[in-house]
Amino acid sequence: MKTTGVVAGASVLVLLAALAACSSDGGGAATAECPDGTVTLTVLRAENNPPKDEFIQQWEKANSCYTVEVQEVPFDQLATKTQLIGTEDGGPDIIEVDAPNTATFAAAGLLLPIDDYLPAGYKDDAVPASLAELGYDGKIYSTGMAQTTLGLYYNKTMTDAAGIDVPTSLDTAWTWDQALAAMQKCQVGSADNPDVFGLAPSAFGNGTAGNTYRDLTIIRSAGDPTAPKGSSAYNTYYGIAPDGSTADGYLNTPEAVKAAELYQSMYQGPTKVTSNEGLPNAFQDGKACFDLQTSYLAGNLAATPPSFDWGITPVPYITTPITQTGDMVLAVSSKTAHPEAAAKFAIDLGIGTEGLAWVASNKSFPSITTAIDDPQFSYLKEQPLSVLYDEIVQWGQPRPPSTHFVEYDQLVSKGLQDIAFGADPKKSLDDLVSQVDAALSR
Amino acid sequence: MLVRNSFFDYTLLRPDEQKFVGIGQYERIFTDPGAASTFGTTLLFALGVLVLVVPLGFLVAVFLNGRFPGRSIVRTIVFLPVVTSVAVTSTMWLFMLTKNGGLVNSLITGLGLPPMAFLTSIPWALISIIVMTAWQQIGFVAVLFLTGLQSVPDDVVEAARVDGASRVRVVTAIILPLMSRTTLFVVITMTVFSLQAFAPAFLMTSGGPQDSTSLVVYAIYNAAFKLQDPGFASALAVAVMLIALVLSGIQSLFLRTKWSY
Repeated sequence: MKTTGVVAGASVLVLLAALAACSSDGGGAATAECPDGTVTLTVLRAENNPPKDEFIQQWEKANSCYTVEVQEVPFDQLATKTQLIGTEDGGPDIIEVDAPNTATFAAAGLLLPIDDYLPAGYKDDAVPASLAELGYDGKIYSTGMAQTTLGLYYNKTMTDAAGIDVPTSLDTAWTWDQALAAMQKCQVGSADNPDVFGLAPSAFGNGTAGNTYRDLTIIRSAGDPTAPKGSSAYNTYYGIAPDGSTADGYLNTPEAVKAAELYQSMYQGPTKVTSNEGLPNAFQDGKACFDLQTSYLAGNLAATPPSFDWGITPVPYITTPITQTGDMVLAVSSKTAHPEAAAKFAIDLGIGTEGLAWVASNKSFPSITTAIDDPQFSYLKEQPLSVLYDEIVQWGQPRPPSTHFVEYDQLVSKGLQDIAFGADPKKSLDDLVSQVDAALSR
Repeated sequence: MLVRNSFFDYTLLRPDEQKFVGIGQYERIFTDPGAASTFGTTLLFALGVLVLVVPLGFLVAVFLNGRFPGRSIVRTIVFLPVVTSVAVTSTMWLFMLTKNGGLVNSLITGLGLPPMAFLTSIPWALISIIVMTAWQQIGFVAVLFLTGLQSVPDDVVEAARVDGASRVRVVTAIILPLMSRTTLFVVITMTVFSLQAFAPAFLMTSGGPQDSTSLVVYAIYNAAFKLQDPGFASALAVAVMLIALVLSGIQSLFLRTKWSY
């Protein structure tokens, strides 16, 4: 009996030691340098996404009282995993969030506001679109890391050969009618099976048409923010009611339907210039004249130069120029036991030394405007990347803000996909609106 | 738990804020056109898989039951897709069937014909995932039929042949009736399997185009995790279970064995 008790006691001690070793909290011994011991912060991120290990290690070196553990999930499971954090015990200290989902997760109480930890003057320094998409209920939940938008990349070798003069500044940007005419002129081969597409098939998601980030831009550009408030043109530009309560009268306006018809003509009929099925690296491989892509493509093209000259022209528009913004951001979990340290990590890896170094390393765009004077961002003032930066600052709009953006995004993508596949644009938008409104009302 | 959840309206983001809605989620199955459509699509999918896999699986089993050189290797090859992950086979077929540069379309365009949108047009998308699923399951069905074939008493078959029955007559009048238990098992197993299919819709077509391949388990996944509607997803899951039970009951009734050996 005595032996059994000793064994049981030893087992409990071993178990406790094992549990302590596995704890994400770490809690090393206190030292003069680290009076609270070494704290371990856990970060949930999507695979192949920032914050990259190299910059995390730089941060650890600069903040020696902290170590960082990274948990990874596939990109398309990140939002689902984040949703489930609320139902689980424990969880990460810092969560990578797709920017437009910030309000959704903040409203659900999954995130902590970081206003108390932001550097002085942050609000004046932040890119307006970042400030708009990363706040909820008057509080800020992230600074963002890189800011991203779309550009219309073009194969200059092909456009020159086709005699197409492509604009390279915002004030001379094409309308979609002009852009589609250029794409048709540049396309090589039959519309059904071209050797070179006028516009590269979407590289977003699984490669099928309809991505909200990319394609809702076209619909929203049919709106007009200078039209009378509440008019259909005004509403079309925003894509959702200001209070996020409805999409009726915003996504199914006459202007939106007309834009959806134009959008469908890119995929269907004799005027089509692209495919509703993906073709990876179509632009890089010289199989497309144009590509509506994020700023990351510029980094890739710079890192691995293609065999042709290329440039970036502003995103075309129907009535009003607009580009949707937003990238992956770091936010602090409301369950963290170390809010200050977690906020410091999220801010440093966003707009701090480590964050800006990562942004510059892939020729992306910082979320603060003063960074443009930083020598490492000299590319922001040079063609072709200056086009994207100007877009972010002058045309940038967050994706329609909503505490139900997860559902909105899913439903809008599906609705636009249906239109690209040939469904009646008006009926599709009406169906889409009824589904979105049902989701928004829950 | 599933049944309990189906009587509540809530989201994964706020699981504590549950609202009791009685049979409201079940009423939505009948009033939501998307739900009705997804059940119709799933039944069509199940029917398509059955129509392909049962007769082809039987023919493959008859073939594998014969004596020929390399029989073990051929049996292994036929069964290989069954033990391969459905994620792998779905991705493989996706690469084969995609319109832009897919293997099948490369052959088609090589013949001077226009490419086919196997995965993004109606009804080809549904046909494509039916064919892929049937291809993967034929080996399993063939093994089940093979087991049944090998348990048919030789003396009964030989007696029929002595009486002058042709090979076709032996199959239709002796073997098939004696294998009705195996057939019943195959049909029920494949029906339930088809009702549970998820990966082809998820990986190959994303339920499109225009929901034409939105199988019910894919719709359940979407409702629960993409649309924040786990209560409705639970009701759909309960409905699938009930449908599987009813279909199995009906099939048992119609395919009930009249023979014993």
